[in-house]
Amino acid sequence: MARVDIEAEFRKLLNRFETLCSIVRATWYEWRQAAMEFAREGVKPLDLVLKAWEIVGHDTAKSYFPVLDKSKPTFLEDIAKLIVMSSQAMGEDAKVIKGEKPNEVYVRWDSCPWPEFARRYGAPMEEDLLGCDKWFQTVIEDINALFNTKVRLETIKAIPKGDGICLRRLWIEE
Amino acid sequence: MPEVGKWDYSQYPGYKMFPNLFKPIKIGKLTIPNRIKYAATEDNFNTHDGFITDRDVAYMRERAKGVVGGICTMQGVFMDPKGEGKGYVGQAAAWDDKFIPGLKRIADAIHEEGAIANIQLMHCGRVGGVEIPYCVGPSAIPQRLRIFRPVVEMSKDDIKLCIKQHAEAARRGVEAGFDIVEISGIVGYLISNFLSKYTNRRTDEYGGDIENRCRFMVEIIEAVRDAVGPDVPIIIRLCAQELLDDVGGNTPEECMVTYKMAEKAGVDCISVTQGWQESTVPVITRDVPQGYWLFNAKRAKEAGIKVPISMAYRLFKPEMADKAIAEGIIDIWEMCRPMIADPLLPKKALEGRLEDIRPCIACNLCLARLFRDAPMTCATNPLCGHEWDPEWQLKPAETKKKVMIIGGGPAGLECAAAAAQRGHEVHVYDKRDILGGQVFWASKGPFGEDELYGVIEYQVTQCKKAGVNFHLGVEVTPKLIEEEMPDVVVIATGARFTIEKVPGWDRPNVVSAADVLEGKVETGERVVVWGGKGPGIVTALYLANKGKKVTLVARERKVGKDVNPSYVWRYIMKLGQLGVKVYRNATIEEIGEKEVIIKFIPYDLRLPIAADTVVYAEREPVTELIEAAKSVCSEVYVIGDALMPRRLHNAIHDGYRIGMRL
Repeated sequence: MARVDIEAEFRKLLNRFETLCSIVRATWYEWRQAAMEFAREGVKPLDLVLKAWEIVGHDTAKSYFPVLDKSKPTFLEDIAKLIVMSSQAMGEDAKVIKGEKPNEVYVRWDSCPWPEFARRYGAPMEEDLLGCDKWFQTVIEDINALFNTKVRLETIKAIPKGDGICLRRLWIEE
Repeated sequence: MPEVGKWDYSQYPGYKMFPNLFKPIKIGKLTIPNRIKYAATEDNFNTHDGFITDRDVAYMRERAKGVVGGICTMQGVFMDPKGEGKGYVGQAAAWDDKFIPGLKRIADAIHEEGAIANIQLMHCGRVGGVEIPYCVGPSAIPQRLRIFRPVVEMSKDDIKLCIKQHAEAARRGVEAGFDIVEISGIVGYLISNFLSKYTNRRTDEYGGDIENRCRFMVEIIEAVRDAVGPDVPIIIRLCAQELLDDVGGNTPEECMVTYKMAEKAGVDCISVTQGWQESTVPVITRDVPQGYWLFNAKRAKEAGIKVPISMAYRLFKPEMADKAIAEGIIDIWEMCRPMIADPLLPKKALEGRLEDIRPCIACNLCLARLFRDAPMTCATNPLCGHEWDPEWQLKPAETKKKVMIIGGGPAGLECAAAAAQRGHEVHVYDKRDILGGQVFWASKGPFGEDELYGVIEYQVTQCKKAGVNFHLGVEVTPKLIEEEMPDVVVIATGARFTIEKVPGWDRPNVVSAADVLEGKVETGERVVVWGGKGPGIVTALYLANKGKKVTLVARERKVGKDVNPSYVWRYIMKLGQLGVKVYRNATIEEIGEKEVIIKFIPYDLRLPIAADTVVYAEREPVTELIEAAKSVCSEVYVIGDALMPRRLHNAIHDGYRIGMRL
């Protein structure tokens, strides 16, 4: 029976995954550039980017709907886990941290490639931060709209602001 | 109005077998001679602008024959000119008097067969707006299913108009000759959207607590009553259990409140249903045991509902319905899917011809077609949707032929029955002693797959009654074909499980899905099933259900690509529940004694995994006799999986199409 070098196969997969993550980010900024070149005069890149992240947020929320169950006590944590899963799928180092209060949970990013790409393509850090926030807020709004819940999200720390990590708090409002 | 008195059921054997099914009952002021109701079924047979077609009239006529004097319900009509309430591209309309002549054709056809005509009012709400970019509802709640349109919240003026449109449509129905008016409040349609706290977040008098959420329904009932008068019965279909716990839908107790409020508002009968289209719990497919949902009808009775209760939903057998009526759980046996498969089901029950009932296999192919804007079809009934077409009816053959059918699976049997019924001399050969082809193996799967063999039993009965000659345990050879000198040869040899000849393919631990499902071989604990289409999925479920650790390897990007989309999600859910690991875009590169190497095709990656047994479940057509048959016979047909491995409905339809033409 042929011997499969598992480590070699894994390195191949990892390499491809990392390449794909770069392609995703590069494609994002390439589209941004194309859209700005075609946009009518006066359109601000920030407005365009926020709209794009809103559209992404709606689509992301739809993908979360089938795996969320409001009747489970882990509902909030499950949302956080989905955000972590999406982040990890894009090559970000994210994890869920349980909060001190019962209806509270944090998501922490120890590293994220997005700011580096923003710099590479000449986009301001403010746009990177606000775009991210727009994505999260749209996802949470849609979850609340479907499940009739009061999940809230706030950004406490952000890598684009120079904080070194991103930290977001999720909680369910009473 | 049909004459109730003309139905004397006592002269039929079914009257003694199912005494409760053929007793009269009053719905409002109308006496129904029996406890049979054909439930409303969308079929996409009508024109896009809502006019009734010959096709739909013929379809309904057959069902009217079947209810032997009972209630025959036409599909739900949409009632607004914009099409906000339209959920299906071929849905019938009743938003203007111009539709009355077409509706009258349906009512007349039903009456001509001696049945009672029921029109259903159906605003599809959250599922509506099929030909516009939005739908309407009590609140603008996002859609969970991508195929539905975004919801626009209705204003109070919209609500009032909608109520008026219900009343006008009811009036048109009565003018067209319908005897009963039914209101649909189920599965995610508009009334159910108002009733449910999942989709109704209004803060006005139409939202809030359950009583307020019922207001829309109550106002519709009252408006319809005003429109049709006191003598026309009103039926309503309502959810007894929404199965929307994951999104905060109504509790079962709240559902019973809706029942009581509907009764108080003046309905004459309630039809019990469960689940919404977006529920993630299976409701009407064969993985749900027959009779499972009767407890919801019982709840309605125990809640104190006094008007008659009817129910469909996995209630396929007359004996089950008869018992449920005897026990006071339901009052009327309603059928939708079973009478798509066999429009004459209740008639055959009355005549004591249970063996002649063509079974529904609860595969939801009918629904899958509707959601993809196609005319409805039925897996087991090739005539469904073709009732109007004289070319599709079995006519006596102009020239009697000797027909040799090679293969006793569903394609061969369907062809045999059709051909023999037309007067041909038909011989069916099969090298095995048992009939059924691959259905024999498929029916060994868990979660209701055993119901599949009911189709074979039905086909064999029809063949025997038509005088088909069976030659079982006979392997057909070119010499035999030559000796028999048939006028026609039909190759229905089906498909065989096959394996790609990768290194290790002929090891003793490599077995076919057929041998596994037939119980001829035992597998080890760790099993790799190679083949991600329907047969592979069923084999994986069979093994996982027995406690094996199963990995399913699928070449395709999605598993179950051949399974209809309205069923495949159940298979995928069960694979997940049983812990089956699924690898897609993958194949097996090599098989060892205790290991296989999986190769991911687009990525050129390999993964060795532990495996005691490899079960191959891909198929290839069995075609060896085609050339031999063509060399001795001028009329040769290839049908079913022998043509190309596909699904059961393809086999049955292939067989019928050839049998009707020979």
